[in-house]
Amino acid sequence: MHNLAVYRHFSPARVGVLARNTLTQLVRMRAFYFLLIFSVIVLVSALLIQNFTFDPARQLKIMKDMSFFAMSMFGTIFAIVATANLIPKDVEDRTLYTILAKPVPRFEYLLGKYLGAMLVIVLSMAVMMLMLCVVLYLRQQALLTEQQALLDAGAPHAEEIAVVIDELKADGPSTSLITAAAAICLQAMVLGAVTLFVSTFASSGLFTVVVAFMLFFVGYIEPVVVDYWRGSMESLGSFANACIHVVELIFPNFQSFNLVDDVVSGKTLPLSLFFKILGMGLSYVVVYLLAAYFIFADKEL
Amino acid sequence: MEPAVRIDHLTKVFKVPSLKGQRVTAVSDLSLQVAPGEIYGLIGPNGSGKSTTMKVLLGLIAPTKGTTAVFGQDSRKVRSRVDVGFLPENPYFYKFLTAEETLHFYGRLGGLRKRAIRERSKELLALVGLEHARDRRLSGYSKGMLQRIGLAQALIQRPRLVVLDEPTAGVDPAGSRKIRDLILKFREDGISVILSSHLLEQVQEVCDRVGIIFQGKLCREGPMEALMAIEDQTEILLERASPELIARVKALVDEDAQASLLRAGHPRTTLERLFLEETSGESPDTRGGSQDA
Repeated sequence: MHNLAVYRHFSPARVGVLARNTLTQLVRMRAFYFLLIFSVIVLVSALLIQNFTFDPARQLKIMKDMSFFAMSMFGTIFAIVATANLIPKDVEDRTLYTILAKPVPRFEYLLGKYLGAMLVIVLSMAVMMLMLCVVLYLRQQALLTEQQALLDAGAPHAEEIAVVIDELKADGPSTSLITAAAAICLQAMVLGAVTLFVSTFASSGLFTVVVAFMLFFVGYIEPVVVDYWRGSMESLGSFANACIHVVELIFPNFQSFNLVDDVVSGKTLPLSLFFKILGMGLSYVVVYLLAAYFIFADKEL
Repeated sequence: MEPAVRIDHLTKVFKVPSLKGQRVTAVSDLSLQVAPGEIYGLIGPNGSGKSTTMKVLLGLIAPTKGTTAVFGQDSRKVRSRVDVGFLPENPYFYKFLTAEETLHFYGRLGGLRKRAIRERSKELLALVGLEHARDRRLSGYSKGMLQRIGLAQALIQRPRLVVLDEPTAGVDPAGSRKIRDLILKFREDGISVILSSHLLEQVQEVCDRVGIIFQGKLCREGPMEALMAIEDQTEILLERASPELIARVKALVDEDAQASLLRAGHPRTTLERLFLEETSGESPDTRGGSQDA
């Protein structure tokens, strides 16, 4: 009898198996049910919004605003709640023992779990984005046809109608929409990494969720607080500035992932902005995953 | 030959989460070896340090002092786990997976290729008697079935050492016997086993050697036969003996100045065997019955 296994110090296949298993777990826990709620939000906003405003371009803006709000909520809540329980549940059920009793390095376990949860977020965001683009396009085309018909019928205020048509054309699906959705995705990935880090030393899933939401809140108000400190503590000198820098470095600035307002107002986002956010987001993910590993590597199970 | 398990002067001290910084010694200066192909029973009361010893051996916790090795590989190294299969006490596997998916998952973690997993899964599901439930999610499994799928996952990459922590805890007698038979098959296949169990009768049935651990220390260790033998007593088991023959044996014993007959009568079956005879209709296994005579 001979052992069938082949051991490698780092195996993308093992990480992939753990990620796929986490994805299966979340899918079978019906995490994707949120997509149904999102569909309802998008469709309802598309169908009912015309009852609240007669401004055609505003209708598209409200639809985008509501959809991005729903995506952002999903990303934030899912990143925290799903990631918070990944490790504690495996420890509680002792599933972790059977996994780590196989030749699986701990960092592979962490990475696999994290990637699995993030895969759910990325896939969900992609589906939501697709739904938004389709509904937005259909609504845009309907409104354009409506406005064009008015123009063709020789309606008064032709110049105003032409402006509305231009606005409608600018408010349809665009690469800026994708950039904003990708930024929401990145925010969720950073938040997931922060939550995973907290869960490596937290005593319970609830504690992790509460602390992660607090960190999210701190990161969200960080720019306002830092601006206030900088304005009021100039006299304290370099030490205070250094402290502020440390705070800025430790807590991710979640405001910088918010591109929704710009996109909804019709601004075109430069690609450089996306790469800047991507660089910042991935750096935080790497740092927090490494921090999680350093704690988890010596954790007594 | 390299021992399957070598534990040298293992000490494990845990910090108790308290303000006083208290510490508890779970295992103290414990040394033991398990030979390849040997079934070793580690027995002791709750909290005696059995599970801690197993966890150190599996790299789940680090030793405070001493070393542990599996087939010569330091057990703190992940590589040493290639040769190990582990079934924890009361395991809860991912309930959303089927038996086949579970074995695929653990097989991939064990470094097996997909084709090898398919073949091995088929073999193992037959071995543990779960072929009929291969496509059923584990959420619908009974405790005994979970223990058996646990054994299958432990064996998936053909480990040379299997660590079993209370493998029959909460399992009914029929399931318990199936697990016992599987452990006995490990011996035939040359797999080394470390078994921790409170079912001492079962440990006695399957183990080659036993270590008794108490308050973190190995109090006694040795081959089962040597530990169990009562040196100043001799057992004679007769079949179809007439009352006259028994009377003659008694008379012979009486003639001896030193020897005395302690007990004579019919041997008793065990409650487990009686239960199995009544509930499964299987013919009783002669091994393991009490032999009071």
